[in-house]
Amino acid sequence: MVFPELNTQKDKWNPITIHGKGNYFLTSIVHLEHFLEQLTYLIDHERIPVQFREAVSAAKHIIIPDVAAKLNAPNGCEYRYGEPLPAQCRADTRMVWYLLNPWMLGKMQGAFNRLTYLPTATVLTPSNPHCLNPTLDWVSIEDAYLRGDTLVIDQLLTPHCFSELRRLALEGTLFYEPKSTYVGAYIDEGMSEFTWMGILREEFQERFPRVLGKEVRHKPHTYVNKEPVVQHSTVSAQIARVIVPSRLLVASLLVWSAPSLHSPARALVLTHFRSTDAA
Amino acid sequence: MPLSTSWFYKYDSVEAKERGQGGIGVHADQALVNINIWLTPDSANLDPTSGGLVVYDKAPDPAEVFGQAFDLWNNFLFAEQRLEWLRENGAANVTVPYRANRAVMFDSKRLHATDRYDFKTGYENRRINLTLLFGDGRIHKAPDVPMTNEYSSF
Repeated sequence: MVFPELNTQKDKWNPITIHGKGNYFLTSIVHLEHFLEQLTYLIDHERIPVQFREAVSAAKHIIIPDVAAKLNAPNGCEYRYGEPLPAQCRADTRMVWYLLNPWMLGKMQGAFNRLTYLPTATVLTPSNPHCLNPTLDWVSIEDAYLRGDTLVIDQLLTPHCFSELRRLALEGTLFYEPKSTYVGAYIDEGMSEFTWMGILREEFQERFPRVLGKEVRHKPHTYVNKEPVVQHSTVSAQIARVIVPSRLLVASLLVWSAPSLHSPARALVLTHFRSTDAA
Repeated sequence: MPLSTSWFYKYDSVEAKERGQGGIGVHADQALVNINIWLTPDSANLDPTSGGLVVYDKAPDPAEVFGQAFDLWNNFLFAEQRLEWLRENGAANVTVPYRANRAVMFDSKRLHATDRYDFKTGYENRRINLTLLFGDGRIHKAPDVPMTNEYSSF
């Protein structure tokens, strides 16, 4: 297709000119409304302290009306959360992007677009061993995909996995990206920390071997040692404990990224424990 | 083929209800396989005949999807041009209504769009989709699959 030429000045809020993803002070009223609704939900469900109501109140009564007024300057717009958009406001007031200033961020107690809450995933158990519904005919489903059909798969997830992924979407304060009429959370901005996302990916690859094949899974961890651990010891102090379900771990690659002051020092001692401590 | 990216999108019910604007217009996604999963209970959906996804049987050239023209293809300023392109190319589509715990899976290069939707207002009623995109056409090879206007339900 031949596209018309873009005027990057006229279209300065065009996603080609400025990307919402990764720009954490960029917002819209649709985005701010989601922020206050999610925080209210988390307070009501006792996930975060009631003191966050101040941030909710600021978003509702100060920031949203202020942003609406600024977007409609010089004539103004007296928009209030939960009320219909007044006639004097531009029709797209709730969707237009706006760059918050430090005063506005301060009013929301620094909670805006921050990882305020991330639910902890329940672990795989004998009663909940899958994310994808094991009773579906996966071979027939993959056959249909290879014929070129669009696939419609009902009851895709087990009830437990559906519940877990919905919980992540409702509770995880990961929706950093404002879009026009929706908000976005991404795998590289926190979703991957939720165990069921990894399990879901792995099970899709297992269920669709001809379409998706297999891969070596990777999940990097970074640790910074601020102080020497125990030197000249055969067993070092354990500075961090990482529990990775064995089914998720295929290979581990460690890379050191700081210069060493003691070149003959041993870099790593691997000690293999078989944990008997369920806690 | 690795997961190239994944996201949750959580939709505004008000704009869709008051101004008929909601969801995502016609676009392609820069991957080889696209899986959309819906996570809001059916009780939130006020119209069970809509609320899902429209999948077309046409796609831009892979060189455009996986090249520099991709941002132009998906740019909201060119929504009309995309619709015109679909008309010129005789595109047909499958429209899949919304259901909780339903997935739609298709070649990610295919043009697709959010169907019109009418969901209740309120935080827990917001339409939520989880999208998983697998593979990158610049690196990975997908099975050679025709692009039909058929669909299969399971």
